[in-house]
Amino acid sequence: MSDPDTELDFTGQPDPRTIWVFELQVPADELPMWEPDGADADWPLPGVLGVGKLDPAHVEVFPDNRIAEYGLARYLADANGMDEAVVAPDAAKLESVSELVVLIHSRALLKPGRFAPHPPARFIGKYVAKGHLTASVPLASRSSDGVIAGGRSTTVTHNSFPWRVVALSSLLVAIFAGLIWWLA
Amino acid sequence: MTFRHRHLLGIEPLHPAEITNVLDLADRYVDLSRAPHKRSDALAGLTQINMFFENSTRTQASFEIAGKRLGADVMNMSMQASSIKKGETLIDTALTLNAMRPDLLVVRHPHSGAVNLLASKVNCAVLNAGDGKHEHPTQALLDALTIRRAKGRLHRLTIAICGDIAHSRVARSNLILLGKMENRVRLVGPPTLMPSQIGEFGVEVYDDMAKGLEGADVVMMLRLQKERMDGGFIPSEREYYHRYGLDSEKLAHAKPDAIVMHPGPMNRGVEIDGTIADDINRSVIQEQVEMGVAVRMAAMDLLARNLRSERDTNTEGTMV
Repeated sequence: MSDPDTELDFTGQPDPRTIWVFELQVPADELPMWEPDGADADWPLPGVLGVGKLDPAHVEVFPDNRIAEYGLARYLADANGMDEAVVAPDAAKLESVSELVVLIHSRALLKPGRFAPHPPARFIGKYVAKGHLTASVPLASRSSDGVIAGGRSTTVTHNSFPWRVVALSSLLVAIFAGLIWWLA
Repeated sequence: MTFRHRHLLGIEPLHPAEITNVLDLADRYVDLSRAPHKRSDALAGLTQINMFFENSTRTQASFEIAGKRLGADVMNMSMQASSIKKGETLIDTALTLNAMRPDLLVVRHPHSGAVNLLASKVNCAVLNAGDGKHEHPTQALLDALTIRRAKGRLHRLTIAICGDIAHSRVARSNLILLGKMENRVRLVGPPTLMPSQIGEFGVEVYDDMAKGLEGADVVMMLRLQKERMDGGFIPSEREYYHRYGLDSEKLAHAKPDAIVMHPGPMNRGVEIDGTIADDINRSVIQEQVEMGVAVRMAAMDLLARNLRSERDTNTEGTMV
């Protein structure tokens, strides 16, 4: 679980992938005003979240009923890959979010800072993608040095000396010499 | 022909006239499917991907045959054995699929709402082939077509849906569709297998088969979905069959010409007696399978028309 005191801090780095969830307590018909599509200088979302700038391409704002069947907890864990061990304990809190749901992905935050949400925005939680905990250890084989380790070839090469031809030729020369000697 | 939807995600958003339109077109596709030459080019040049996150040989085969009969390039993806097992998220899957530029995406998923979520992330038409306990629209449409062909109409009929209602997306989609078409719908089953919010549907509920089937025109049996049960919903299969399994004695309470339906696969001897299931005078279970292909052809054809129309409009807009 993350530290409640630092949950609202962000580094401005995309990784580890992180999603901050907020609730916007406004009527659902105000959705167009808050949506990131076509966001301009008057977009009120960064202001109520207390951040200077957000990349709208990585912000989601939708009514709570849009994923009612699927559920917000499953949306974070299964659909967005957030750590299920962190999302699951918050499932009840996430399902109670009403009106408009706001998801801020870490890629939306361009420099370090801290959220300072104020009404109608309310902070719900911060969720981080499950990291890959496998350490990278150098491999101890010759192939890892960039050298293709070769084995002894058992294939007969066509470049070897032609012993069979030499032997056959010698035999023919000997027979021919013997024949000459016999005739003489 | 009116069908103003980009996706077919459920029965809920469909108007009764749109349901009728789908069934009318499906009727024509029944004729095509029975002809020696079973091909049309309604989906020629389009790519259909069947993406099943849950096993379903029957439904997947039905969608595959439907797509191929209409000339689509069909590809099957078994997501159970694919990247989902390697930790890929649903949104990553959607983005990957989008990059392949399919035109029709047929999705089955074990979680309710997952198909709607995918539909919101891709640029093609999406057909819900069943999501969790939510909806299974093409099953409800094929059931409707089967009833309409067997009874000559799809209104003012008494239809008993029996068995495991709580775990059934088929029951939910059928309830909505049959209600929209002004039929009298009864739900029959043990209280433990009734969903808690059943009162919202405005249907009659029975826990006694004899009373529930009294005067019914259609008896629709549902499969006992043991794989979705995590507790003691029934005392035993033997007890369940005794009280809720359809046999000739219980069927005698329905109208003499009542038809028997089952979405399959059947648990013979659990929810239905094998002799009833095989009785060609009462059972329309095989017809349901046949209607499944025709309804899926109709649904994909209508969605493809809308898709082409949308693309034509966008192209014209770009050219101007």
